[in-house]
Amino acid sequence: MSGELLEVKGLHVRFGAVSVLEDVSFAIRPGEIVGLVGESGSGKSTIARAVLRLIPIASGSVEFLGSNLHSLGSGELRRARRDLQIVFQDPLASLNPRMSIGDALAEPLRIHEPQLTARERESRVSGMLERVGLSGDILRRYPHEFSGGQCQRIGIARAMMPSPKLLVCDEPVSSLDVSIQGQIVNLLADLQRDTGAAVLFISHNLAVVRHLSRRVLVIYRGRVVESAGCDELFARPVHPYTRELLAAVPHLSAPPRRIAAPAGDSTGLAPGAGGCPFHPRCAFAQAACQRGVPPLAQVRPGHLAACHRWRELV
Amino acid sequence: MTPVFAIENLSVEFARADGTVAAVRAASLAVRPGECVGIVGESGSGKTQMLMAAMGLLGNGARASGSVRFEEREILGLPAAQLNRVRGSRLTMVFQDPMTALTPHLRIGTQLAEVLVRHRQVTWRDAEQRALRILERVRISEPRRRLRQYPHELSGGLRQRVMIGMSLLCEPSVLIADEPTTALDVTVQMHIIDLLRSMREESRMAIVLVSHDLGVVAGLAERIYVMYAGRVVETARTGRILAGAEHPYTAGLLACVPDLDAPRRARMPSLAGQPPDPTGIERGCAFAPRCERAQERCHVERPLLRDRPEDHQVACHFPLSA
Amino acid sequence: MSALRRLRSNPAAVAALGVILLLIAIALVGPWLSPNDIAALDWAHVAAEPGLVGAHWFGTDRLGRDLFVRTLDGTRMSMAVGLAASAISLFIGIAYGAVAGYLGGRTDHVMMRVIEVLSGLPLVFFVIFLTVVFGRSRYVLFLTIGAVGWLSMARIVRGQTLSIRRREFIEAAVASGAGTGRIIAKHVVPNLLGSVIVYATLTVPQIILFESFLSFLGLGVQEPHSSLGTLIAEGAGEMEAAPWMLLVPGTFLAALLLCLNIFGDGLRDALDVKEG
Repeated sequence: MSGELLEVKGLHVRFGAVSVLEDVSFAIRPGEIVGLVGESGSGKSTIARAVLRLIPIASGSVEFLGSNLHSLGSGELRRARRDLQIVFQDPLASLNPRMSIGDALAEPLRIHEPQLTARERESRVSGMLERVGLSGDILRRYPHEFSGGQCQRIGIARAMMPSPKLLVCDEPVSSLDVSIQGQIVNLLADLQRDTGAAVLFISHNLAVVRHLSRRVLVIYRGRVVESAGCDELFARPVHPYTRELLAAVPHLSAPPRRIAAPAGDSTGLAPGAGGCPFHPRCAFAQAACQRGVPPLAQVRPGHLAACHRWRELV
Repeated sequence: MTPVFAIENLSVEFARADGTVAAVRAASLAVRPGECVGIVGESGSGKTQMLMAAMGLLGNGARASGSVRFEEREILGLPAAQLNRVRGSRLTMVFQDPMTALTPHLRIGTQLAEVLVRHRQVTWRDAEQRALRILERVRISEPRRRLRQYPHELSGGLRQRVMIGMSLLCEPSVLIADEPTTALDVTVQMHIIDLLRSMREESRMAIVLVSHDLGVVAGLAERIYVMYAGRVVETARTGRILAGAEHPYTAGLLACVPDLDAPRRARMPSLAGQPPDPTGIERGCAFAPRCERAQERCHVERPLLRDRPEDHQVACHFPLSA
Repeated sequence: MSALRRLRSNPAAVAALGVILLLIAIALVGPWLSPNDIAALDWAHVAAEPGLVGAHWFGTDRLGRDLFVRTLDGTRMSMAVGLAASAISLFIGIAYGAVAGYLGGRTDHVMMRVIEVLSGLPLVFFVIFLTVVFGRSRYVLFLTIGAVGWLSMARIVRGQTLSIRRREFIEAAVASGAGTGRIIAKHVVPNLLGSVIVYATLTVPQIILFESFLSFLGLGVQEPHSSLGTLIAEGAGEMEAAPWMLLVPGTFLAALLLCLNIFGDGLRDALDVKEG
């Protein structure tokens, strides 16, 4: 027992014949905020679902609070789910359109704390609504009456109801306007600080992840390609993909970049094929990159990168 | 220089069960030939409705008033038959979600060729050749293979490139891109913006780029219009906006653009509150409830667009420089 | 709810609902207004034309029975059958279809094969069999039609469940620890009620028609009660001599079916927009 809250080891996930996650390993300590960054198709949402046991895994293990999540019986799984919650990308779609906000928020309590009276439930629900910045009089209303940002607050409130130890956020702000994203990110930071929950924050945008995370993992085509402390990753990125992600964040100071390479589909090279998954897109690709998948090497203390040429890039 | 595309005092409203929604209120903008203009605003600011009205794409029950001039001809209110002569060929639009804009059961090649056959009366063979060339022009790899593929076989980024290609087929003088990158990852977004930039350099095409992300717009546009609650609240050349925005809303949006060079801040900047309910009655400045600088006057009297030095207009009682 | 508002602004649907309610009202209250009884034989006025004589406002049949009260009795029966049988198919169909659709895999496979086998059985023979075993009573009629009608309802519900199952809020419910029963009851079913209710409204006319058909064949309601079907059967034989015997129940049936269809359409339009 290492004292880790969540330990993912050698995770492999397949959808049919296609390998979506290959040999993914990472750990989250209690109260830690970890960012996970990758583009569409990288498998980041799949990691979220594998960690929550919403999809089956091909091999590897997901250990939560010391037990292997994917081998728990239904009763134990329900108890584990109390401590493991998720906030989804599309706030409106993740709420049952036919269920009032009050009922939606009370449901986790009904499932995990059935001994509560109706009044106790209502008071907990109102309290949580206040905590996420919404007024208590929305209990009888329905999701379609609210904006994207408000729905996401409701989604966060629902996830926090059973006081989970780990909150997985799967692109929680990607469908919101840039001006509203900060509200939600700051809310998550506040809740994390108040409750001491750990957070796995998944996004395709490094800029968003930066505010919240202590550590950041970068995933590409089903593999972890870099992992480092947040400041370290932003100051001294090693993997070419991480550098590309950093360059892609639109900012105002630098003059616009020219892109040389033609746009292939990033689905060109199926994961599971030989060589580094990034090499078709990589400006630093060499012959060696086509032959073997680079292992995660320690490039500095606490900083891992999976690149054959890391010594030159450091 | 007369603008190639100009909107003047455009208002759009439509009836909803719970009241009349004034989506756009007396908005004006002008695009010069070859210029790139950016329109920035949160969801609900009216930017999309304004352009849909200009393109004659409003849904039933929507009413538009004002003037929209394209290549010096009034196009607002034109019957579909006449609009279709310019729409899709000289005045084109790229939408946010390419999946819904492309027909799912037709191959890419067919959809591209169809545009040419319809607007330019070329033969199908000719059209397919040009379609191939346009795919090359928008830098899609393996263009011959793509022509035969269906929309669902392509990623979001590729589909958006196809859409851009489709709007370029007839060499438009104005391309309207409505949140073209909002549904895409940042890496793909960067490629698409770069593509638009190249396309502009190659031809004298004007672009109207719409987004809720000021960072995206600032990278491409020469002039920016900021919209809030259906009105234009500020407009100036991009450099001037970046150096010194006058409207508190614009300044707020600027603050939300990430600056990775600056030291990490614990709080992510954002704008408090949300855009106002469009069915509500406008009293005073629409931004006042969210504005830190708001005073008595702001809640009562609506500020008008006033001129500032260097071709800059702001609608604010207490602009930031004053 | 906005769906109600939309429904109210649909004049055809409102009118249809009005007519249905009117027919129900007449069917319930009418017999009180007439001095006649459904079984009373008025030998003085056999096959009489509609008129005021003997308070036979809709005329009489071959046996001198008053058509007014008989038609209303028949309308009540047809409506009762329509409603009860619909309700039974609804309950069984929803439960079966939602479970099959949600559980999927082999369970779904087996459950759907059962439906297919049952669908293959000729409906009429099944009803005849049940009637023979349980005798001719209105309750047997409700049950048999309902027991048979659930098949297509279950298919519809299963189809809807399959698409609902993929939606994100179901995933959210699973992630929050909800068990299968809770998910089906609280998350799946409320989201399919919209289309299911509409489908049910549109099957009521089919059920009434089916019941009329059974009665026409002599399998349905027993004497002295009638249903619109039996009345039409009798009336069909007298078409030339006493056309009102066919026209009166026929008009009532046609009006009922037409209005149920229009109302069902309006209901679907009102609920559709809210979906998704």
